[in-house]
Amino acid sequence: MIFDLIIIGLSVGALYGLLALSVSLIYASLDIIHFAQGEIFTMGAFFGWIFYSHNIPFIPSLLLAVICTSIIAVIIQRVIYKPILKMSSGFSVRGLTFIVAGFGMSIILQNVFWLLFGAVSKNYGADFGEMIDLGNMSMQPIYLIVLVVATFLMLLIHLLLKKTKIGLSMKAISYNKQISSLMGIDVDQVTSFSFGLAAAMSAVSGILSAQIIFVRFNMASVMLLKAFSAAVIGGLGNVYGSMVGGLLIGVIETVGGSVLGTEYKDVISFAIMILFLLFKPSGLFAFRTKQKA
Amino acid sequence: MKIKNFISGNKDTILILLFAIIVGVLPLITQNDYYIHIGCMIGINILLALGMHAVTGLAGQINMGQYGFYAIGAYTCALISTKLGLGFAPTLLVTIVVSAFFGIIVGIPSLRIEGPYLALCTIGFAESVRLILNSADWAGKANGIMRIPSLEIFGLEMQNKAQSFYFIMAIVVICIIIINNLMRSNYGNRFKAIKDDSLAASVIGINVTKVKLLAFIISSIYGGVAGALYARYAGYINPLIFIQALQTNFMLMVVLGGLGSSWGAVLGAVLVTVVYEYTRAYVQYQKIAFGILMILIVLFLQRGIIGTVAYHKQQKSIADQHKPGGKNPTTEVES
Repeated sequence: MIFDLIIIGLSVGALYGLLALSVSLIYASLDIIHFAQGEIFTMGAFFGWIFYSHNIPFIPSLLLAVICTSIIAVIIQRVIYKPILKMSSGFSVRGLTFIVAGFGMSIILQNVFWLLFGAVSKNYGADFGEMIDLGNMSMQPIYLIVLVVATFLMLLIHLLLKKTKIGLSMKAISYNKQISSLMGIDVDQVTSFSFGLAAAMSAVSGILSAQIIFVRFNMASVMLLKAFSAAVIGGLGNVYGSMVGGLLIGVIETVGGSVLGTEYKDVISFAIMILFLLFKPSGLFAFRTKQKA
Repeated sequence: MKIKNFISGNKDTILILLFAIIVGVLPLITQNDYYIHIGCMIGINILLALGMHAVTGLAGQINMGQYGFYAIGAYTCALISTKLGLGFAPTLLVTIVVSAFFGIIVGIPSLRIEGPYLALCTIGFAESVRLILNSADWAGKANGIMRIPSLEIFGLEMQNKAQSFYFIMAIVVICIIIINNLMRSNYGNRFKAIKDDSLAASVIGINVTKVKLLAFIISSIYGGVAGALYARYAGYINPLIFIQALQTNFMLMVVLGGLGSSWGAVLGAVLVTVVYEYTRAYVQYQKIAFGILMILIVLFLQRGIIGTVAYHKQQKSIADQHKPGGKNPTTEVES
């Protein structure tokens, strides 16, 4: 019993982790908490659904959807967020500027999806093969696919950050933009690249989530807040911590939900987030986040 | 100094009188219940916007959980009215106490964190409130609470919409007077000091803990009173009313009118509510328009409507002052 709860928790957690990872990447490179990331996640799921329902096989349609979502996200960042970040003035309350802009963007995108696709939930109807037999219980193969994909993506991100030049530049601009720019890093390009990479992670998470829940214009509403919980637990700005935070949230809410009743599983993860913000705002893995907090 | 206070107090008095006259005349002009319903919703939204104004506009603590306070107020009032059968006045008192309690709870994180982190925390709180109400037996689960008695005061029942409208607006006027007086008092200055720099405020001897908690308590009481009025006015509440989309509206009200100005919050609430209620049939287009408006405000109108007008007046008076032979301005313009 506890074993299959943990497997399901881990795979749901991997989906939160991917979204939390994108929130963290954006926080590291743009210094903002992006409240419209949930809509990027939904956008990925809708693009995947469009391609898949046009008889393109699953993996190519996933890749196409990821590319399209990243391009649109980068356009949004270049056209709307860049001027806002460049602005010298802002609201008289610190940090409010991007909250208002993020919420504005979020309701724009959400209602555009509603207009374009209607309020009816969409289903991929993809078939991933037989149920997997795990001794005394069996589970849907999608849960294992999610875990495999998440591990693969984590490995890719790890290699990107450790072995490539652009990964090094990403780390540099998350430390200090002015100094990086003096060192010859094109801050604008790297910021856009980070934003696009974050959108790609969200899109993958969206498409895989769409195999478990249905595609709907507001599918991200609770998901995003849980991704924030995951990112806070791991320490905002720390990509590895976000993944671990996502897995933790997934397991805790699945196990806790089976103890307290499933209707309270969302409350559990929000309570964890609030407690972490209160007592350990830098997250489990304090990693240079102190300057940002 | 005395004269200046008197003059600025006078301006608020005139605005309140004007507001009261408009409110008094409106139900006489139109007999259409729909318009009066919009009027009632304007009153309730003014209270919510004033709560946001107190905590975000004045004290600078970003509160994205106002709809949580609204829900708590509505459910407290509805439960007490239906289960215990108390009148509105004692119900309102209990609602205020319960809301203030939750205001303190939500205010505690603001002592340690700020900015976007506080926004996350307050959203988490409000969303938890909604989810608990949605799944708790005592709150009627998704069905909500039905047959809540209508508004009344000391046995005098509000029988039609016009009477409810007058009742709601009477409370709104009282709340506007309270917040204006608070703004002019010592506490108003303490709020502003904390908004600018809480560390500097603590250095000059302001009790930051007390003032931040007070800001959250005011915000939660205003939200709770609005919720109580809504529950009694509508007669039926369910968890679907108190969704996160409301918070976007509250945010828009405060930033549209102008952060840090209570009349800005009132103006924002009136404008947003009128547009919101009139274009209910085209909800998607309306939300897209609100979103675009929010981004445009961030880009071009950070001071909001009232703030921009006040800023230009101030710039003009400064220019007059520096003109050769120009007279000194006698009144100070609030920014």
